[in-house]
Amino acid sequence: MRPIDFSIFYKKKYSTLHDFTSANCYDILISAYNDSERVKKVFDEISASQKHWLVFPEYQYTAAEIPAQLGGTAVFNFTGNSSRTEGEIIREYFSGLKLSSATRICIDITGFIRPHLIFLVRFLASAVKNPVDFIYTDPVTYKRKEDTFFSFDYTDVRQVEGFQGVHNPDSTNDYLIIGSGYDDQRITDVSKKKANAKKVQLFGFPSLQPDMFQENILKAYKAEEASSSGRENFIDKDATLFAPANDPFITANVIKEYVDKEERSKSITNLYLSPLSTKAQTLGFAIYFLAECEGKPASIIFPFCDHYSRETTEGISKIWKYTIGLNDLLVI
Amino acid sequence: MNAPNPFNITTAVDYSDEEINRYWVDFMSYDKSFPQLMKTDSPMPMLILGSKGSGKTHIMRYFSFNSKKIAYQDDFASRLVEDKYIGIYLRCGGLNSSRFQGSNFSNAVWKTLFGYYIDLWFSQLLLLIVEEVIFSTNVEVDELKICNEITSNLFDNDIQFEACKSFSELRSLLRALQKQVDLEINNCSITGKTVVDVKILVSPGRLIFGMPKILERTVSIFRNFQFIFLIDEFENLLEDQQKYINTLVREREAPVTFRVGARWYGMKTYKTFSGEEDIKEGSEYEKYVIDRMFREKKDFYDQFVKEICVRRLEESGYSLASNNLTDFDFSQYYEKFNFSKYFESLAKRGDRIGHFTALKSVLKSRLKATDIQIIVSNLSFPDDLVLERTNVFIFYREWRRSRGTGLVAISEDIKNELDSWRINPDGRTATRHYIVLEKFRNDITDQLFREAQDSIPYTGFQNLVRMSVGIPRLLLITLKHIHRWSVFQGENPFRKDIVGVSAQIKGVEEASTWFLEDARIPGPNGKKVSDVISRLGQFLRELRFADTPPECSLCAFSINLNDINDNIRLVLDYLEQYSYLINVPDRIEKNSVRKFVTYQVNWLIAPKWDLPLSRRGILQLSKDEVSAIFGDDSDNFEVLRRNKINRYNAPFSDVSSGQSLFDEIDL
Repeated sequence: MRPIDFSIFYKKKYSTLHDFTSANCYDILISAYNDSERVKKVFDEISASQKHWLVFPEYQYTAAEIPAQLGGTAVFNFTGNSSRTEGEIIREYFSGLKLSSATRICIDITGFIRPHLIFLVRFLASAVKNPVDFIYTDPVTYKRKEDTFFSFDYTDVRQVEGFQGVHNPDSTNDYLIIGSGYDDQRITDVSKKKANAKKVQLFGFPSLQPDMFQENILKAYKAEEASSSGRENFIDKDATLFAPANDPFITANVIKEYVDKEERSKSITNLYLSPLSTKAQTLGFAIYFLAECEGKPASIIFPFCDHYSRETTEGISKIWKYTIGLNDLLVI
Repeated sequence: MNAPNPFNITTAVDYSDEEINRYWVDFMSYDKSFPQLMKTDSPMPMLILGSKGSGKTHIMRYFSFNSKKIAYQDDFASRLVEDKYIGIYLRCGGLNSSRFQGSNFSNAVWKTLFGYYIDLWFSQLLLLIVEEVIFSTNVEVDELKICNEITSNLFDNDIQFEACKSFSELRSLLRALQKQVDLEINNCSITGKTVVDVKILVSPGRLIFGMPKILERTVSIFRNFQFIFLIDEFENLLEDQQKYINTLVREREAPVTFRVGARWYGMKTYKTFSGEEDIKEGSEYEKYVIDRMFREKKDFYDQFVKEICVRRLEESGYSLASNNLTDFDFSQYYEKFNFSKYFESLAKRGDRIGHFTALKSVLKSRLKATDIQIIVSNLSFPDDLVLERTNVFIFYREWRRSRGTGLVAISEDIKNELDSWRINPDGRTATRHYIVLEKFRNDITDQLFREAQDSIPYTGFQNLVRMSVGIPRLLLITLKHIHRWSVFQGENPFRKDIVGVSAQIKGVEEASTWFLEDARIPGPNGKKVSDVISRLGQFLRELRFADTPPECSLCAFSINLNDINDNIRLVLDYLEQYSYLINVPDRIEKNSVRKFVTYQVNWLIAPKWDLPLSRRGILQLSKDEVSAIFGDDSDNFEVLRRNKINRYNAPFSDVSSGQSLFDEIDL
């Protein structure tokens, strides 16, 4: 296995939606439906032969609220059965899709439920040979600042399908790396589930907007009792990482550098990753796992909830495009 | 730089094996020290249950090989042989057991895969320890022969393995087999395949019981040893997975036994795969509930947590004033609230003080201003605010009793009675003031704080211990927050300064908030239970601070078991299992077959609703109240609460008829 530098992957920032749409067009656009302007507007304006809305059960849309199938827009509604796992939903969606090596796929990750996005990455790594464009739209602000609520009706922390790893009975030096966002209750949930692991928090810095870092820290501090592992300081240089909130590649690199450093001093018995921050960082966690953790005592774990807010942000700031050859990551 | 917070670590999982020993404190009750409880020489399996933070993990890890080997130090071999047991500690959380379910495979397949997986997992942990013992003791062992016996006798006959020359190689083999299961589960979720390609190579339990048997017979140092699997975090297993462990407990074979640690709510089932029968307490296992034991042996618990705190301080480099732990007075480090000073400042408000403002407001529509003035004047006694508030308390009682007649005369009587109290101390016991204060002193004092809109001071070390309700972690978390506030406010606790009242109040408030957040119950019942505890807290608070509270020191209630259905039972179970409520011994009503269950609110959350830290009166909830607070009739709660509260507050109206009982009375 050769060492990988995730920063070599292609990413591009577009200052306006117009800049993005005039430079890119696709065969299929896949997006997760919710009420955010930054999801709907991007979906409407991107140029693609087929546009697919995935409607996830966690947004709890009623039949009357589901968007209409118009022209090239197809709607894949999974709201009927909330007990379906991320794997079942994504597999079902792709089972009716014909993809060739020439199909240009664009996935707007902005509205995705995280475990579904993570599984999608793993699924595409096996199913698609050519690179895929992932796009992520920065918001201007979170609706209620640090009081914004994202997820409700927590059920359990479990491994994300496809990221379940080969774990080690020896748990004397387990690590849990949490991508800590605003959703402090979920940080607590995941920390409590792996209580014995040394917890490391990865924060989005620089954040999507200047004021968001402070809001993020304020929220994450609420989970301090569970996530601090008894440390004296909340921001501890040995247990705090920073990566840009909208950069999956630096996120993956930061995790890799940290894990490699720790491994050099003492072998990590089990590594758990839990991306709870931006979707861009979630993508970073997933690609790090694909490239570095397959077949190892590592997994991605997630605090599953039955219900997510349909709209948490306001405005459209920038649009990011990340181009990733997922299949290449598997064989690295 | 500030001195470290000695209470920073609040969970045993955050301790290294070395720290598990260093911070170990035994429970010194005459019949229940921890070694007596663990009975490492007993083959009888044991369930160690307890609330979160009661100390299960610390106890189980303390008796694990990994901690013991550190305690043995240079006498490793001799002390190991002396102990005659190996504690193999296993965290169920590490199994990531929730992946052993899903639509790809049938339940039967998942059960088989999990059983196989856990056998491989346990065996690897055992081998890790065996390798370490052999390495550390230099005992002569024919590893090739033993490994050969294990692979040929315990695995299915038709399997041929390459010979394992050492325990390390055998462990690698087991790891490779485990990896097959891991990869199979992972791949099936990616591909959606529904056929398992893993071959199960060993019958359930055969490795777990067979390997120790072979080791005990063939490795001299293990002769007559007991191999104890210390299975912690049992609550992390699914129901069928627990059944598998329960089956192992039932079918156990010497020299193997089990100690299973779980939260109260963690035992999802006591059933086994042996005909779905339950494991039987007494004959097949013993059970201990740690925090219940702590609560029953309060004095020992007080000493126990005091020693834990002293150990923390010592380990953090604080030197304490006394070396005598038994007599060590921890309360000297925590400032006591100065009630007299507080009441002095409150008295300066004169008749603008909260209780008179409220009284005047309720009398306004009933009496002339001059009469109201006379009443307030009669009841005033600024020299002693507690007595003054007692005057008001008695006044309300008499108002209720007299149905609102002769209120001015009532106030004069009270004034005269207080005068005689002052003049004749020997005759005090006959006064209403004495009788009321005997029962309601705490409530009256707290009423003064509440009416002044100040925080009730839950302060002083003894109170902090009491608030932990037998759960040591609750005390440590409270002390941790208090210490932080103390340092933040510029104090140097345990060195130069005592911990001030302000830091204690703030720390308690934070610990209380943390508890409510942390005890959230996952799943659809979480919101329901959280709403229930809010309704209950509000209900008890309003009754406690009513003009004529129905009971003194109200923080407990009892329910007639005939009044509850399955849904309410479930909610009550949740509240108890997650330690929102503490069950207090049942009582049988005199001359009745009716059975009651009594609970008190966890004292750590008492500050959220200004509830007292002592339990005296017990509120008997009616069937309607039970249904409105705990059941599906919560829509009715507001109406019912108002009705109830109005019954105990002046003018003591009957809201159901929409009229005051006394509206028609000419005052």
